Amino acid sequence: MAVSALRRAAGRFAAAGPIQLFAAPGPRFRDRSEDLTLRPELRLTSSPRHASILLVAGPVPAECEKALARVHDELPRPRVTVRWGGGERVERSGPRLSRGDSPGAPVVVPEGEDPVPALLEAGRRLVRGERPSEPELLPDEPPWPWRGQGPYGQGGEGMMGGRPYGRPLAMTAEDLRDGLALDRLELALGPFFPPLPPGLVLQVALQGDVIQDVDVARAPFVQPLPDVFGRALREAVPAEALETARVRLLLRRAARVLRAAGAGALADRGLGLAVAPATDPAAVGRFRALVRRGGSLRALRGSGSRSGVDVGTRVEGWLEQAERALARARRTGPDERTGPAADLRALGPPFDGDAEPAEALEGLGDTLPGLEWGEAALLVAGLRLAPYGGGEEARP
Amino acid sequence: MNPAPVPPALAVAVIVGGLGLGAWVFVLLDRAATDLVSGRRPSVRPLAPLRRAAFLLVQQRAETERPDRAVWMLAPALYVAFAAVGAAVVPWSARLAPADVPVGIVLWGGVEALAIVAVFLHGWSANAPVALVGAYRFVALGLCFMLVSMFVLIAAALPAESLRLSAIVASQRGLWNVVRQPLGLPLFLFVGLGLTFRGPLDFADSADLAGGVAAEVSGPSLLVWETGRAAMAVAFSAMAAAVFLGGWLGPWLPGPVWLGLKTLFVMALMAGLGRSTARLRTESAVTLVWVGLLPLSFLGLAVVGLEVLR
Amino acid sequence: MLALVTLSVLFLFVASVGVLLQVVLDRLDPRRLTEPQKTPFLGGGEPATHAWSRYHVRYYSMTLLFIAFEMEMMFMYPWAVVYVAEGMKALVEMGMFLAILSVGIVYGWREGIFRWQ
Repeated sequence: MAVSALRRAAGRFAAAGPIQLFAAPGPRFRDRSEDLTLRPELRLTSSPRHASILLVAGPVPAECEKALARVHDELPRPRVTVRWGGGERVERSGPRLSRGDSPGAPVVVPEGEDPVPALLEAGRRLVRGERPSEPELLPDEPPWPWRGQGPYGQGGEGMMGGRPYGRPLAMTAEDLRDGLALDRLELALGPFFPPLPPGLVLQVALQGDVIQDVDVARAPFVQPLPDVFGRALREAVPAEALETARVRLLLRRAARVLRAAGAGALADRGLGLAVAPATDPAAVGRFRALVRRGGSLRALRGSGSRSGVDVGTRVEGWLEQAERALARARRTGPDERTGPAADLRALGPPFDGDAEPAEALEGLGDTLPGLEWGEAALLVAGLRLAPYGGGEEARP
Repeated sequence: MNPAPVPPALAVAVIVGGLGLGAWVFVLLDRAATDLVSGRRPSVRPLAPLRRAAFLLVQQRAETERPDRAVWMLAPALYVAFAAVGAAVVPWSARLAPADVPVGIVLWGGVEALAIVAVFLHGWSANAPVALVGAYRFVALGLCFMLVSMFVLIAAALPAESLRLSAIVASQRGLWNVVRQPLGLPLFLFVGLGLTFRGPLDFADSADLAGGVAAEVSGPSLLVWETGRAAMAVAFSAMAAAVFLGGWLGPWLPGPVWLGLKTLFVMALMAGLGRSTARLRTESAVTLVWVGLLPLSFLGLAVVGLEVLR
Repeated sequence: MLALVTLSVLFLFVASVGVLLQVVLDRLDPRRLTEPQKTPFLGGGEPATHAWSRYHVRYYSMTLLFIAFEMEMMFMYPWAVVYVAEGMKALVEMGMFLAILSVGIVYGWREGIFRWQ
């Protein structure tokens, strides 16, 4: 058929371009899947409907499997799932890489390996049509069963009668700020919502775009503490290594907030600096100047100030501390060591500015209501909500 | 002496082709700007936008549970169509203009207003919460920057004593409006960033809303939407080039070439500005426009008014 | 007159191409969508209700101010055309008009119509 021939030709033409990817990171994989934004052959999308690959990074716990299946089904065809580092259970369940294997084999990448070649291979084969798309995981049932009697569901008891369209309409409630009684949207922002840390499930009630009520249904997945800091809690570590690791962590945090603030290119710059093998002080200085003078800090200032945490000031502070830490790293000799720290906060910035994740999560219920969506997303991006843990230190 | 109208078939062909080419160039400029700001070396891959278009043609078109299907399909098409109409008002040379209506400025104002409606409908018709929030908060800013745009354009119409774009371009023979009305181009660029929702006014389909208005869109609908965004940037750049940078005026080269070069310049400005700043808070943006930019545009109007009367 | 024909043809042509592209490619696609595929994206969570609701449009008061300025803009269009002929009188009159409306902006600002939270 001419149509399928055209489609195959379009697929072959499209396969040479960047592959769209939606990342669903699990525990311990947030940083690593964030780093994939720096690869030019991949594009990380903010919605699964723009992607053709679902990257499940890390051991996603069983309770999030249904949400993951829902996200998987939301990817339009053609789609493929790539599992990266799911631990023993996943690695044993399927063959290793699909290179050279039968086209429909599930794609599993072990934890230590770079997933990009497998991702590109699977994605390109998918778009070219050589690899069949994965079928839907969830059964084809409407979320709300048909209720009501009669051909239009109009019969039934009480004032509401039947509910012909399944999912109900929003109910009225009074607004926080002005008491106006309009409709209230209730959403469950799931574990793989890109503006939120992975694993965090928030039950949000919105009126307009201002959050009325927030309930934390699930805490975020644990993320690993960088190696050096973990060791610094137990023994003396070289000061230079500690300061360099500090710079990288601060830059990564600033990049996360900038990405939530819509300055994706600036965030890529910061992330690139955080990931680069050697941190160049001049480059960090240029980055800070770009963020400051480009107006991004001015745009961020005042965000979240109503809840006492000015995101712009935090980012400014992080960048300043990064420059100072870099200067300290260059000044110290190679043999200088800093003694073991008593706890995380004694390690200095950014840990001394963090609240405990459990406290911060509980505080969300007080700080977020009353903020409009964009500001709330910025606030959440600036907080450390994921607890450090997972035992093993992060691999680079 | 008004420019002669171009036959409709030719005009449609040239504008559609020009917008398509311009959209392609704009996407390349946008990617180069992203590379520059991210610290990578800008690698120009000319076929990349076409490959993305091919991918979107192959991808399945997603839907939500109870969308308004007709409006959902119509909205991105309307957005592109309005961009085309806006681009058609710009004169190509002293003698050629595709659609030189006597009230070109008013038509552009109408295009802006309806484009805002198209973006809103695109988000509303999906019947998805994230898209709805994006649509409504975009409209808040849309109303604001529309006013700024109108005052700036009216100030440009004062020296020309006419609302016709060809007259406005002709009135810049001695002095370009970017000099005569120094606040004009910066304010108009702000409006352009809002019209194409980029940079500080990235409210409609931003990442903090997980894709916002475009979160539920995929496949051919996404292709039309993204083409519309780029096409609107091109149409806006052509308008800015005509009203502030003298349009087809210029020595040695023929008129349309000058227009193309100036449009390219404004497109590069827009691409750079759109990628280098973070988003403003909605409240801050609204207050900034009403209390800051609008009085500035009044000032610009007064400056031009006094200068013209001398 | 011809300009209007050009504009209408252009508008209709581009809009129809946009719509037809989506409709035709959708019809040609044999793959049907299942119900879970149609869930609005919320990161794996589900919305409890339809999104269509009586949305609290917080900038409603700002839109009233916008309408006032929009009407003022309508008067400025012909004013711009005859401005040079009319001279200083026209500038002063429009200045008074804008000043009166600006008082409206200041009043609205103090009343907090630009603040939503």
